[in-house]
Amino acid sequence: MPESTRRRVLLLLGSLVVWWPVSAHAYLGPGAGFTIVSTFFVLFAALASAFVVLLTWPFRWLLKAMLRPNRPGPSKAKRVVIVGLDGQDPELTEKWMNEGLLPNFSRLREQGTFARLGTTLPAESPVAWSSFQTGCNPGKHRIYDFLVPNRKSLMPELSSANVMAPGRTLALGKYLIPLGRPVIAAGRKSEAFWSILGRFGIFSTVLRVPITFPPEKFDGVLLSAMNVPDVKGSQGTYYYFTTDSKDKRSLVSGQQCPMEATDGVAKGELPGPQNSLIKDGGELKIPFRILTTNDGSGAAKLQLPNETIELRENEYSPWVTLSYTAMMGFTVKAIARFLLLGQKPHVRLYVTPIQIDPENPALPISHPVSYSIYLAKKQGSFATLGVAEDTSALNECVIDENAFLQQAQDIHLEREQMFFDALAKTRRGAAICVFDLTDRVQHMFFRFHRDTHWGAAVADERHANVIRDLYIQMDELVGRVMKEIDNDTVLMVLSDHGFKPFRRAVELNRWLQQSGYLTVNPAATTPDMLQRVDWSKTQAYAVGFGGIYLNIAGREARGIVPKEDAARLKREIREKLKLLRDPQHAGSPVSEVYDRDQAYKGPYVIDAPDLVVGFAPGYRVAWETVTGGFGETVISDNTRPWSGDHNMNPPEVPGMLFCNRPMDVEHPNIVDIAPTVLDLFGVTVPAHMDGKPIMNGGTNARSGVPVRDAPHSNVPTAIQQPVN
Amino acid sequence: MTSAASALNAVFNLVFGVLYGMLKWLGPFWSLTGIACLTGILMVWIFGKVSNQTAIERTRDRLSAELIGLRLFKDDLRVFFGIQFQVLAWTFKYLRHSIVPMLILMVPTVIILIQLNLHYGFRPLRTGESALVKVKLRAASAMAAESSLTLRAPENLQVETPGVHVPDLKEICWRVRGVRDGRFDLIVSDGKDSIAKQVAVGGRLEGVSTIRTGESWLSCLLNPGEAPIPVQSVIESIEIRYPELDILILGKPMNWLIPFLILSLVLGFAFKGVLGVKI
Repeated sequence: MPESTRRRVLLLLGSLVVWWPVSAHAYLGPGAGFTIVSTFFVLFAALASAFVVLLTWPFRWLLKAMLRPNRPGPSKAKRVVIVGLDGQDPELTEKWMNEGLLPNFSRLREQGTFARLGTTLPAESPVAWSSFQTGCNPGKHRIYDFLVPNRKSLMPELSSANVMAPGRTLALGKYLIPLGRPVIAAGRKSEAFWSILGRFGIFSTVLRVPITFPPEKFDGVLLSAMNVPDVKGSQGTYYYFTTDSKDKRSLVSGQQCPMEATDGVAKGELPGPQNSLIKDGGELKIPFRILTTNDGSGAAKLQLPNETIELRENEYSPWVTLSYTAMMGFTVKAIARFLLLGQKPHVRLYVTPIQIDPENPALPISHPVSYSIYLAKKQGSFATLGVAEDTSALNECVIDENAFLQQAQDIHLEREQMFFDALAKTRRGAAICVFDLTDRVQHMFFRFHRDTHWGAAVADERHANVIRDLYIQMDELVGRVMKEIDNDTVLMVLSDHGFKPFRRAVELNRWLQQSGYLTVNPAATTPDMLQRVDWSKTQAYAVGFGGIYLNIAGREARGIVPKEDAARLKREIREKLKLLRDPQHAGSPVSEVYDRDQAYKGPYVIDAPDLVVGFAPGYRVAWETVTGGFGETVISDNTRPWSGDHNMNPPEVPGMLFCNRPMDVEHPNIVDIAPTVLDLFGVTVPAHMDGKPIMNGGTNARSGVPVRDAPHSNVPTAIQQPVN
Repeated sequence: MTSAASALNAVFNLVFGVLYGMLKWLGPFWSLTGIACLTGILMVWIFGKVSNQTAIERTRDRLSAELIGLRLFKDDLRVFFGIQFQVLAWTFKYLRHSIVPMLILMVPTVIILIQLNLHYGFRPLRTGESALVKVKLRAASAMAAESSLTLRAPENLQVETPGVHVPDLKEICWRVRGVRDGRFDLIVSDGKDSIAKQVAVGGRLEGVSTIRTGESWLSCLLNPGEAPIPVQSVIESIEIRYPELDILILGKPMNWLIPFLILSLVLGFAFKGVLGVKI
């Protein structure tokens, strides 16, 4: 519309209102009314809340001051900011710092501290981040691995959380009305340091720290991370749709779904959660159609029941909200992204795991619940799945490296956005965020990285610099964080473990079988989830990333090993495992085998694996063992894209710690972080914590102690790291 | 322009006449409720079509986020008031995105309100009830011909008073009384031309035209109940002061505009989700 015409129209409309001389003069109609009413309520709510907050602030302050315990010491910092870079390797960081590629990390090193950070046994995220937040060894927080065996059902299960349906339901015909909410049992024991800070009135913002699901109540805000399930209740099931009936894939972490194609339209159904509101309700599904084009543009349309999304080949859609209707008035909201992999000759579509919608969470994923809603409304939808970067889809070759990188980077940007908002909102107290990009990308791209023990063998140059560029990206992030903080802020940048190449896979259950400790039931048809084990003839079995469990009588449901034989059997297995040799390479694949009774202390040691294998760099437990399965050979090449790992002997894969202040000890450990933060705020470190404050002036600092006291360590003294 | 306005009036009168005819058996309140419901839905639908829905959704989300933020970060007063500022800033952005659709929506809204005012603003005279008839002349000079200006009523209407002249206002007023139910024409004549004005008498719910005018296309558009007075006539308008129609809500009389405003807003809001419109 030309400007002059537009002006005339506006003038005419204005005239109509001004000149109309009846009682409706002041009323602009429902259209304007909507806006005016909305605006009125917004302003009313804002002003009313300002009034109430101002009026009540002195009383609330007084009440909190009266109710909370007194801090024994003064705060040494106004704010503590912790940036977690999951899996960033200290060796690589140091190398690139020395090459001048990481100026901000170098600045932190010069200002304060750079050290190897002792990690946990095993050196993996759920265990290490649990120790980070509780200041305890795994014997006190009970997280020993991603997967642990259920001693009764003899099936592997998730260690950190268990989501159960509401206990009681009201049956009305075919409908089942839940009388209550789903129960989420937390696997992690002990107390996170931000909960302790909260008791002293110190506010914390905690973003995406692993093993914070279900979210716990405390004085602050928290967004859960690792182990938040998708809407199906799994840890991330992606979908691969294709119209090609000959394209048959055996996916483990994903699900292949067929699509029907007719006249340029492909039809499919998006699987969702089980319909628990109807007896035998089955899986909820959302039908969709893909309208393809022949113009060579790569464009297509995705038609969902209430929405049409434009797709382009090899470009992710934005987050799309999906509504699964269980029955009238009951919908489960979810989000997913779509990637059209191809249209000709067959339509191929990848769908990310269908995740809990942060704006309408089906399960609580934040504390308070409104925090995830706040974030979603502020910055748009974001990935909520515990392990959101879909390494499985790349590992199973459904998406390629570029698609994976794009997805991981998008998720990282979402985290950055929420973290910088958290920095702005948390002027006092603790602001903590863990970024997973470093871990996920290294897992999938170590095969392209030349500077490794196996480096010379790498021929593929396509992504040779991805890891180096990743570290540079993290350096830039740290630089931006440093600009946001003042002199009263303590900044820690740390990783929970390092990274090494994963070239050879060790199949522990096959080794146990060949060594005579495990017997396979020849009649069993399922090779996975310990289903092939003949328990009546099995002394030991393996589940998870290096855990070996004895089949102890009275503890395991079908145990046969007498308790008094356990110590001898452990010694025997340990000695034999250390003698294991790789026929293709010199040296032992196993650096150390740890006995839980020496490695862990605390009330939950009884739940620990009896032995934990510390693999030499380059070796890791085989994928089959992780879920209680069996591979063909004991040691085989790892040919999957998942080519970097950290589930190795902990001294070989320490994390790193940077701080803008100097430390008192040379050998910090991840369990020291929680006590250090408490000490910085003048809060007494609880006696149950294994770590000690390490920052200058820390009252409990063990200045100059080169190795940790064994009872306080999560890793035996013998495997403590040399420090840079 | 006046003829165009007359044509538009004819169309709107027909549409609203049919709609009103279908609903009036429900009585004033429920028929108004039905129309408010349709109006609310129509307005929401138009709002969805003429507004930048993406921008409005984004702005509303940001507003909601800041309002949630007020609760989350209430203990740090500096942060809290920073969020208050953001609330104000996003409110103004929201108003900015809404102003054009608001102006566009005024066109159908004004048309609807004019038509509804015709049907719900006033009621017919009851039998035996009186009303003022006010004739406004175009020019003061026309007052000179006052002796020749006459008001003739049919037998079902009774002229109760002689004409009262108000030269300053160029007006002549009479009082008339309804004798029998029906629609009748009062005739105002200056000796040369005669202009009729409809008068409604009776207890039924029906629309009444309070004024017949012909000054301009805008007047014509705003007063659609009767054809405009020819421009050459000395008479500018003829108005009947009908009693206002009160709509009873919980036994209390109320102007139609209040329930219409509330009902159209509430019902519009209720249907915005169904229509997929962000307001």
